[in-house]
Amino acid sequence: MKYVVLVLVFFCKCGLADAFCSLRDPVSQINTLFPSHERHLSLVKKIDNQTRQIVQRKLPNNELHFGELGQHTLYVVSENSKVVGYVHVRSEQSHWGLVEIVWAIDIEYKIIDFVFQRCRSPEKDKLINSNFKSAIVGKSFEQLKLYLDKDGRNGNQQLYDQINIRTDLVNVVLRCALKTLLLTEVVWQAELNSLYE
Amino acid sequence: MLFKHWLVALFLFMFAPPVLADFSDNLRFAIDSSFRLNINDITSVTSRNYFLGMDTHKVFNDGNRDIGYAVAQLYYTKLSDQTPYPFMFSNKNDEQLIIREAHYNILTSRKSLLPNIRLGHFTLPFGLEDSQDTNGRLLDYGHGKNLGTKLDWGILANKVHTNVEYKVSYSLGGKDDPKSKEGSSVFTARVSTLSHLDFGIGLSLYKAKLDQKNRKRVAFDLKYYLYNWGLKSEIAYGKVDDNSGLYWLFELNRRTVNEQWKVYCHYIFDDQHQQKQSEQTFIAGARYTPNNNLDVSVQLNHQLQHPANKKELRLMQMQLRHRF
Repeated sequence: MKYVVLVLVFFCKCGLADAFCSLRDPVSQINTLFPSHERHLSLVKKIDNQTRQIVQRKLPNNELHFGELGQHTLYVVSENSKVVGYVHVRSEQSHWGLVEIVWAIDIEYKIIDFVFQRCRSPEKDKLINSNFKSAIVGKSFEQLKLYLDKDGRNGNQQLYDQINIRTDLVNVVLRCALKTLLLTEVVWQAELNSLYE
Repeated sequence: MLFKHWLVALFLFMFAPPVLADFSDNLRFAIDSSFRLNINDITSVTSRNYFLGMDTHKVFNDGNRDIGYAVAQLYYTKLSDQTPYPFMFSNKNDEQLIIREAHYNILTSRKSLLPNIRLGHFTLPFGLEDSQDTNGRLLDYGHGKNLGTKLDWGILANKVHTNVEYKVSYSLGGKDDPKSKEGSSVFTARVSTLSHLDFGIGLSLYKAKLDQKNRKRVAFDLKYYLYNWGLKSEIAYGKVDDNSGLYWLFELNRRTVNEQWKVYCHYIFDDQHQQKQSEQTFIAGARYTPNNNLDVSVQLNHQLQHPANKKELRLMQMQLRHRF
């Protein structure tokens, strides 16, 4: 019996307070972000305390919410038998609870696009209708980091000079984009590289 | 009987898909334990439930795309002084190995018009429960009471389209047993707007022969989230044999900014015309999740009105749940 328990503990990789039957793939969001894609491939990886320390080192003053730890999925999206990008859902704490954003990333780890999966901020529509998206599309982690203020959490003047909106939701989405690009490289890069070998 | 369940679950989980990758790839596994205390204020009886089980989820692929996923949940469940007790137990202190969800899902390609197919033991796709899973929680949308069973063995077709999603299922009506009993069968369907949106509506249909009774039910549900508040409602009309009835559930909930606390209250009106009896129930609950592992919940269930031929119910429940 003790060996059975040991095997069970070895496989334990829990990262969800709710039962796993509540998991849903972001199917409609992937369709929106990659309208002509043919298929996607899930890669499930664990985001643990070691990853949390890397985030704290590379993005000082940024914490991972407990819901961001545990096992998460990166979707590898293909079109004409060729990988065209990755999709990852990441959440970020805001004044209106967790904001969940579905990110589309290209194979060079740059932002292609994003859609809100869940956002209860009253500023959501204003942000969608602003030119904020064009300021972050095509940017890598290092390029986006140049938009961070000294506090490491808010957008700086360089960003706000480019966009026609000034709201805290901009800072939330910026932090989420940075974490997404960082985590995608740190957690999934080795496995993604093996797809191209 | 249990041995047969084990075999079916094992078959669905291990051998149905063409497994090419390492089995632990894309595997989620958790040991889920919980203790529930039920204090009945009317009868002054305090009962306890103990659950210890494994919860698994695995995505299968052929190296290029996801071809399916499996969910398997097996729980040792022990009752202590539980009255009335659920149908799968034989007395108020019984213990059983219970299969909750256990199904394999065949994913069709994105451009195919064919639906995805689910085979196994699944929650019937009906009403609010379909958009929010309450598995293992005190929160409940009355599936077992309203449909005769929460889960059943069968086949389910589903697909998520650009603006709508649907699920249609046919199941055997054996509840925890993968076979039809005395001609039982259950047809359930739900079509809804996309489940992740802040505003959503759904229409559900249900027709069954279950426990030698003919059941029909149609329901309309909606949910709306604004800031940290959520509002949900389900209105249903149904018949059990010749007894028709109207049902209405209203929920108001609120989460804290960091999502560690969630509080909710339900008002439920359940009227059965032919029997000239109606129930009105008020439920208030709270859930505290300080991390991914721990979940503390409390729920108060107070009947405002109850049928003359039934005992009044005033119940306080507390649950401590740990997943690792």
